[in-house]
Amino acid sequence: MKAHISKGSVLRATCSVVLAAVTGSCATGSVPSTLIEARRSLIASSTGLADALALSYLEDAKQMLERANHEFALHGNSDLCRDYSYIAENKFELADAVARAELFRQTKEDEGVGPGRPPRSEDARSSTGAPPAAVR
Amino acid sequence: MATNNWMMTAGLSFCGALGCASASLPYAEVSHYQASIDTAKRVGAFKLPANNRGALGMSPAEEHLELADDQFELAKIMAASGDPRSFLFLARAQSDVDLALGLAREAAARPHTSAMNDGRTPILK
Repeated sequence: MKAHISKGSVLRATCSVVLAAVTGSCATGSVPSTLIEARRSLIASSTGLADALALSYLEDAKQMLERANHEFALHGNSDLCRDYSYIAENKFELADAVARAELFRQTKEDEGVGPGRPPRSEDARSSTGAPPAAVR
Repeated sequence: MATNNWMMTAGLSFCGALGCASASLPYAEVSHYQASIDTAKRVGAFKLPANNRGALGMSPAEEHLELADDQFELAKIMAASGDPRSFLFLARAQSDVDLALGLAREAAARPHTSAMNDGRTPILK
């Protein structure tokens, strides 16, 4: 049994998909700048110090960004989406700051002990790519 | 008739009280925020050295504390008018204070004569 699909029905289906896409994009609006910033920070922080030295802070920030993304997918450029994005951005910055502070602390410790000291277990783990214990 | 008026007044008062109760900011979160501000004052986040000045002529930590203060005030105003977004402004304020504290601790740990990684440069080659 062969189904007959007319050109008209194909055209109607195509038009409805295009219309839905256009309507959907109008409903969601443009991506808020705070969300764009937070997404950029995710990439920057995930490839920086925070991934190794402040993992729990980074995870916290990622969760907040996921909330912002989810809210954007549901309701577009809403107040809630912008608020979540703002908080996520701050959390990414915090993760970076905590990681830098931890790096300074470790550097100070290393300088204090002097040369010829064997690497600590955390250093050894870092050199293999695995993150040390999260800083809280 | 007088009974009806009395009941209406009582009903309106009850609704008003309910509205105020739902609009107030959560006590635990407000206490946490205020404790964080106290800690920021104690660790000297308001008085960071000149080499940490930000765009507004103050240190980044101080900028975030100012932002936190503004947003906390807004949260209180919104809560008084029954706006549910007040909770989010309180959360924004808390995130600003947390960041200010983190930046202050970083500044305290930072060695004075060192060009260190900015934290966002990849360290894994």
